[in-house]
Amino acid sequence: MMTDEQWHAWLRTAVPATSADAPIRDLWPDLARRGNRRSIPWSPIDIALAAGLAIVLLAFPRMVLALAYHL
Amino acid sequence: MADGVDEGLLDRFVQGDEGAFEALFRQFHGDTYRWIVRMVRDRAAADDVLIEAFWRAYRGRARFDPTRSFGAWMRRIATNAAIDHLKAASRGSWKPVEDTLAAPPVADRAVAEGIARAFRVLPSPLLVVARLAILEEQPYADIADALDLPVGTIKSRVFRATRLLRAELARLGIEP
Repeated sequence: MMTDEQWHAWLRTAVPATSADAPIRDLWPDLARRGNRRSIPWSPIDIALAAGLAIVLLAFPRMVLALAYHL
Repeated sequence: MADGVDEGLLDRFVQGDEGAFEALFRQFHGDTYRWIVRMVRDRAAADDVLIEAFWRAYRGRARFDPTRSFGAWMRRIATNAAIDHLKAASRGSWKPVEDTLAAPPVADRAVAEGIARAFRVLPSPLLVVARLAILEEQPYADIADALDLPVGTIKSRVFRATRLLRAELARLGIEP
């Protein structure tokens, strides 16, 4: 019966350690693109307008029709 | 000045300076990539995990202490990103992780494939520790630091992973 250390050594002969030491291409452009994709946060004015509209529509549901007509 | 990095550069990174972030990426991406590829053992997956790890670092930059080692902090983030990747792959919500770097020089290819398959049976936290400790022979202290766990926990995970791997390989009929 092999000890764990001997068994680990046997595994390493079958599945050797990795040798890849650097990405094949420059990944900075991908990372920078990902950063630029981030969504623009809502300003306080946007939030206030959305909240006001939601309150008006809840108080006067028929306004949805008027809103839809004007959109 | 941990890692030989100018503290001013780290301060600018924490404040969100993209130039400082790129300078840190250029300096640390090689070491971080090598660490990731040892865990995921697939070049394409390592690219994805590297980008995810640096993106997480940038988003979490306010939590970084510029007096500490950026490299060690990056390794911790990369380890968590690799574990998340392996979990997603095992759930099938990401492409399956094949051990594309396992090119057997000595043993039979079928044996190598069986071993790679047995490793994939391990839960992600055990899989990462098993690959780093058993296949890559990384020091337990480095693995413990990257996982933010005590060395004793790493030893215990290696022991559990070994028991599971031995059982799985015996079930597959693969013996030394």
